[in-house]
Amino acid sequence: MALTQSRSDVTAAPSAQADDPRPSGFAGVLGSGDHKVVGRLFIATSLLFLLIAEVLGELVNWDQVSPGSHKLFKGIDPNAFVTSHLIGVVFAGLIPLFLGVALVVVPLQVGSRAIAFPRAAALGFWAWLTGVILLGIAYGIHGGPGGSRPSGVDLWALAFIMLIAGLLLASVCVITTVFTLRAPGMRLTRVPLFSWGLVVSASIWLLSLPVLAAVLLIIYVDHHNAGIFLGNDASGATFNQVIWAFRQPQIYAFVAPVLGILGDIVPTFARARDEYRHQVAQTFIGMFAVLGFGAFTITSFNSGPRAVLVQTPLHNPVVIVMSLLIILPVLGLAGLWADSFRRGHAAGAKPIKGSPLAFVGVTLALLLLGVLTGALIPIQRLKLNGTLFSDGHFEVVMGAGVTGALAALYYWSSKIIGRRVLDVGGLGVATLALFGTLALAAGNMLPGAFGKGAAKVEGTETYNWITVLGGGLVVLAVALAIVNLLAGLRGDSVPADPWEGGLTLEWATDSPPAYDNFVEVPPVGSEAPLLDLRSPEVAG
Amino acid sequence: MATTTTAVGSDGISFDLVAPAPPARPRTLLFATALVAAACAMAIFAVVAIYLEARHGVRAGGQPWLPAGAIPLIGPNMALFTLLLSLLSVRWAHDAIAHDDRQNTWVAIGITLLLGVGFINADSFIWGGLHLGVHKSEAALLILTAGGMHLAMVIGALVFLLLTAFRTLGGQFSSSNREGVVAAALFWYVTVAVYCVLWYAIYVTK
Repeated sequence: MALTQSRSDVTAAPSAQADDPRPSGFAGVLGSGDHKVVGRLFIATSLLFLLIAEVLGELVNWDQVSPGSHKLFKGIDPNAFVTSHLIGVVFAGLIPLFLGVALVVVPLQVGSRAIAFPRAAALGFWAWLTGVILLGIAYGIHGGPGGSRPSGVDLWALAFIMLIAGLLLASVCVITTVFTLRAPGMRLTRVPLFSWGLVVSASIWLLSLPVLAAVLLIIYVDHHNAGIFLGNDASGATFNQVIWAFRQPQIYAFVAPVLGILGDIVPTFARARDEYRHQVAQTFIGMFAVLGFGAFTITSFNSGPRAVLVQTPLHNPVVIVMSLLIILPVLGLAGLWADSFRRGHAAGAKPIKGSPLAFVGVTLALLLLGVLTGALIPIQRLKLNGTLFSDGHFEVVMGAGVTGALAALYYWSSKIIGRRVLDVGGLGVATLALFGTLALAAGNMLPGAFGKGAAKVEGTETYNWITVLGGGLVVLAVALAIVNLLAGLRGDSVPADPWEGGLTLEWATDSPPAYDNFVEVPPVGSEAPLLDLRSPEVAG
Repeated sequence: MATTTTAVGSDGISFDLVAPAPPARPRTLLFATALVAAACAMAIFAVVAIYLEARHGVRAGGQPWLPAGAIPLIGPNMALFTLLLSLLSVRWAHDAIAHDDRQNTWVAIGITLLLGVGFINADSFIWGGLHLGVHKSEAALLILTAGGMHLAMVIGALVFLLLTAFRTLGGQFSSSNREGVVAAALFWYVTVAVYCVLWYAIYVTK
């Protein structure tokens, strides 16, 4: 080491480059085990797939504007577009987007120089990507639920399993990193809320997504052989067996990481320390994720005559209690965060204004709307389960998930792309996402609540147009976010902590972080180690 | 805690000799193995739950689920006994590496691998004797799906053990670093536990 330091600059530079074993360029991206590169790959591809999924959803909305007549899909089964929209938003868009941000940020937050099993994380990405592409091919050759080509239906089931396996592999890497590679002094109770949120959410994914994979395997074996359970799947009954993964409570588990994202943004922007409230917030986030475990609402394989997208069995006491209880953590966290701003204001600190804060407000509003309307669905007297109201509920909860994930991209953009993304663009995206999701919700929930059933029927044309408008705004929001991020790549370089008030370890690294993240990991003595460094007199 | 001793060099300058800190043992592999094993177990338990639910539905309708004597218990019993025996050999490997006894570690892992192959043989014998076509019977379809998933888990565990054996052969594991052997053993334990559930839910209660 000393020899290297004594060399002249002229000879040191090429030597260092020659000794660097890491591949560069295209090979560096394809073969990289750097958690930041793998995370960026996840983020870039999942944003693209999210946009495609939202466009597919909007096409379905257009197709169903006039009930009874298909505007777009004459002779084409619109069911393929419905299911591909649902799968695309959750499994090709949202979950991988969370995992991508986690792969970049979590090792930085816990003070690790790398992610656990970097090659496995990369394998997880490529397996997921291959699964998504094969899923697209399956739909393209008239496979998928209700598809006319049997081999396409088989391919759909296997590709879906592969996609899930990739996501679970990446989840294992993230959870293991938080549990085993934390910096000295960082107890679990001091883990930043985003990392904590990912750990509890991914743990629930690890317990529920294998159930989905098992159901898909049964579907494959059944369909490939005799079709004893599901027949020849001419009506798309296959999807009925996996619909529980797109309904509450399971969808709450998919969006649970947003609470951790919001929990990290708020103290930074409020200029207020969380102290003991940090552990209360961890408890609330854990409670939300656990109450989102929905594998037990799996559709029976014995339920008799089947129809497409029927109700999931939500009318049991456990689901009713879970649907009510899940409101508590969201309200509790909203109260904690409001209190953070109050304390920051009382201490004379001026809160930071920026687009991540706008995303926080939008996400929290949509999540509150989601859990409140979700509590109504299991009530049997209201007859909402399985109607358009459930579809509207899905759109609201997913809207909260998407805005939360975009909040993470804007907040940690200096770590993800090495630049800060324009605030103005962020405010536009947040506004479009808010009004788009609300319109989507209104267009579905209102006819569902007024007894119009599960399909768009006569008399719902006005609502259908509202849905089209909402879907269009959401597509615009996602497209604008992508453009905004791409434009941000051309921006000026930024300091390690562009917010000048970051509390957690990721703000001690360069923007973008170096290959091994830290020159020296700062000491950790509380949940806000960087605040301790700046103000040692208030170190907890 | 690192212990410090003061030493004096030939030039008369004194300096501290600091004992190196013990290497960090984050148990990364063990932790990840536990997560993967839990995910595998959940997938197989889901099929078992669907099997039980489907069986209940058919029986509630007054229909027989499986023909009388469809699965003689002797085959599953032998398969279970083989796996239970392998618990001893895996534990032997675990203890041997804890005492830096590499020779016994290889022998124990080798015996476990042999018993694992024996289990696969027993499983294929059971399936061959089912005489229930997957094309005709819901029960056969679910039994073969659950059994197939477990078989995949056994093969995964065997590959993990084989890699561990090679790494032990290469001197990577010792009493101070036996995480790989412990992780492989943990996965094997879960594999056996999952078969115990399959054995009772499918083969005993049929």
